[in-house]
Amino acid sequence: MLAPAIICSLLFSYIPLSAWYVAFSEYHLGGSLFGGEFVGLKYFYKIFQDSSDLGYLVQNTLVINGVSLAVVLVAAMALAILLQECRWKKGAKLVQTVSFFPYFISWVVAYALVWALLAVKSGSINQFLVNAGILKQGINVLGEAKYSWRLMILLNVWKSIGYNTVIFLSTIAGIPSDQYEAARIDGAGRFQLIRYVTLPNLLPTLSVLLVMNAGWILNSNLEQFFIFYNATNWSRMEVLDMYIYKFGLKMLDFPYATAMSVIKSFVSILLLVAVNKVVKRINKQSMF
Amino acid sequence: MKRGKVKQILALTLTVALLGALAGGCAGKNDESGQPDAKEAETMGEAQASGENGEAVSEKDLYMIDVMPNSPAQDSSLDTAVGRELAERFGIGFHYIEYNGDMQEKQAAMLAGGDYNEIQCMEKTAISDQYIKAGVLLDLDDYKDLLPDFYERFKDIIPYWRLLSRDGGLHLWQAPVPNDYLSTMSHYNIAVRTDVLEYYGWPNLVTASDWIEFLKKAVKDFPETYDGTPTVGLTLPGAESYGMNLLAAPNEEGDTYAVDIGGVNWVYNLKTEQFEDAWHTAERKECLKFFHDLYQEGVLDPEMFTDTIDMTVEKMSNGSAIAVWYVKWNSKDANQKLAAAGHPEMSYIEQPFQLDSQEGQKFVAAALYTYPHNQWGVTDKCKDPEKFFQLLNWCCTEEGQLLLQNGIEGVHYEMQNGERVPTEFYGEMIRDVALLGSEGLPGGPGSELYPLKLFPYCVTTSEDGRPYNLGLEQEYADKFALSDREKEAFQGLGWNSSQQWWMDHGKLVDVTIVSSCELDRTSDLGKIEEKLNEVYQKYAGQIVIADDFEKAFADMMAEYEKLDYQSVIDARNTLLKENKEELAEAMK
Repeated sequence: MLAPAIICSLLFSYIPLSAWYVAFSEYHLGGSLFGGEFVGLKYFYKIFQDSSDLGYLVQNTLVINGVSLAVVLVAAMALAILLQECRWKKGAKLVQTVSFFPYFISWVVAYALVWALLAVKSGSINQFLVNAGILKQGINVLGEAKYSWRLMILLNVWKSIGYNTVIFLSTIAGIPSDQYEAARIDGAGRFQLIRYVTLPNLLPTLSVLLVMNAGWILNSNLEQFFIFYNATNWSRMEVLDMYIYKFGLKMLDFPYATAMSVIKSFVSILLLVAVNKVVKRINKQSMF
Repeated sequence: MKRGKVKQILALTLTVALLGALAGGCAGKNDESGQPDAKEAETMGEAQASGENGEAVSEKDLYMIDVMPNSPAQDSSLDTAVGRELAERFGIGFHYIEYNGDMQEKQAAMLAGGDYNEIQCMEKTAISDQYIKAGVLLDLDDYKDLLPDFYERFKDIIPYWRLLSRDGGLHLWQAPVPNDYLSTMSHYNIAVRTDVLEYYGWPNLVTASDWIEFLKKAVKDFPETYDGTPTVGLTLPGAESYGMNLLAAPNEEGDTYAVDIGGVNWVYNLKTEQFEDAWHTAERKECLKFFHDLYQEGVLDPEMFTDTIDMTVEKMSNGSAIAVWYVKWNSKDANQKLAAAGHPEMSYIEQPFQLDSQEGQKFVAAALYTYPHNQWGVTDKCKDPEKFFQLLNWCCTEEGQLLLQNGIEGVHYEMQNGERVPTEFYGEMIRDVALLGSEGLPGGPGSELYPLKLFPYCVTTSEDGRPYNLGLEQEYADKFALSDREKEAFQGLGWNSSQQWWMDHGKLVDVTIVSSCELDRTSDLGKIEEKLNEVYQKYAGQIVIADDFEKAFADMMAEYEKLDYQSVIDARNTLLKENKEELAEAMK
């Protein structure tokens, strides 16, 4: 029964890893993946020689993805609890649907929306603020680097909160009702029910989501950064995946880009293991 | 029960809709036979559904070849009058694959994935190098017997193409070369609204200072466009892959460095005949200072860093951009939209630009013998290279060049007393970008969307002593290409023709060898050059918006000078020397 899963994993996840050989060779475009001359760790050394790039790339990646992950999980958990507690069930359903909707919007459309609202001259919010005399000039949210991290985190939360809320809601639905009844008999109020029953039951889900996403923390949504990146905000917007894309496809330096990708994969595995251990120590539960 | 039924009906409807969409998607535009459906054939009209002789041109009888040129407005060459003519004669048609992203990236990915086309477009030498190195391009020398007219027509250029091939073979061709017509190379860098020029009494603006003063006044006097949209002084599509490169363009507009033979980091000095690092020239710093000053004055569009070309065109189409930098080829389209909106008086015309330090200098451009922006090769995937080479060869004959550039006799031109005279329809076509594309002709100066640009076409004089493309003759160029408003604007400026400033100040120089001196991008020096370019791409925008220009520029230079830029320039100069020797040998 396991055979199809194993075969698919091998075919689509493990066999392609053989292309990592490109990072250790002088691969030329159009040639065989394994035909390049073996050069050992040459490209890995080069990456660490270009340390000025690596510093800001890792910083941008970790800040944007790490903070987004933390905020999304906490906000989704809070929203799930609020929706659960909401007595106006139709309203709760409406909020749930509305918050889930951005998950299905592509980044291209998201950019168009953000541009229409926040473009420095023609964005409707900036136009309103300037026309109302609140601002002299529009705020260049899309162009100025100092807004980039906040904008990306906010957009990540906007797009993902609904999806994660559904996961937490399903966990809440699975909490045995006798736990709540027992707590009520013991005199627990509404907030105490949340604190002593709901939250402890949500922690395993939070742990799983945290561990699963920790492995992806160095992976960025290329589409998102490709669209929002520009000549004036790159210092806060360029992430590892953009850099890999740029060196691979734009500058045709495939070995360098692959070496960077290999390093990223190993660091991701380390992060996954580390977060799993921390969660295990705190929560006494873990994924592996 | 009732609710269950409703759900069932909904599910059934959804399934049918999905299947319908799937079937529609799989079928594509045409049915299995490749024939256009009835509705499509009807909209194509008689002229498009059949060839010149009235015989239907059907894809199923043709050898159809996939190609990916830049911005094809048509689906296939059969959507063009000239393309159908070629299909009738040679049984070959071309499917245009649409791609709107970065062409070099796409072409690199196609090679990496092995899904390149039978006839492959390669933009810039960095890409053609990779295709040649990978050994996927056929050597035209192996088919020399099939290509006598090709070899004859391009006998002076083939040595340059061989230099680009690096292995001595001939793997590619380029178009449009040779280009002997000064008028096709006008480098007016700014498109500007004519109503604003008229308001200030038709000033002749040339230098950076002229433009800054003009635009400062203009944004105050024209705060919004006809629909209430706030105006911006000068804009450009800074979010495009080439966006930041546009800020470095004015380096070449004097008499020291020729247009079309410079990169972001290097320029060729016509006086010393050597390559130089661009960032250590005074002009380059002056370029960025110009844009910085515009920004500080509130004249440069603050949205330009996030604007793609579509957004820039949008700003032209409603006149909210008083002036547009470099992407002037969109003026024609924008002017049509302005006229349709009832505001032809806002039409754009192209105007010259020079840095203050270049004032009074000749504006030098390289006579084009090579043009790496549009180069093509036949790959090892080509199913019938012999058949294609027959067509390629015929296109190099006098008859072929006339068809490719001037169109079909009786439709696009007529013979009167032994002379070619363009028809009224030809004039209409030059004014209408869409019609130009559907006819499959290159049009007048600056035509970028020529759907048959995969064929080598020469911008030279034909056997009758006139350009193959009559749209390039001064007599016809303005007559056909300019609207009444544009003609009025040039008259207002006191110009005899739209090209007058360029004809008076432009100068062609023969430095073609320079274009063939490209470093291999995958070599160590090539990679340093890429890194140098990367430094510029990152800092250009920061310099333009910086409060302290000198500090921002110095920061960039500090980062730039960490890299071994001089070795890159030295390598280019060494390559130049070697290529000169090799070329001299080949020309013997």
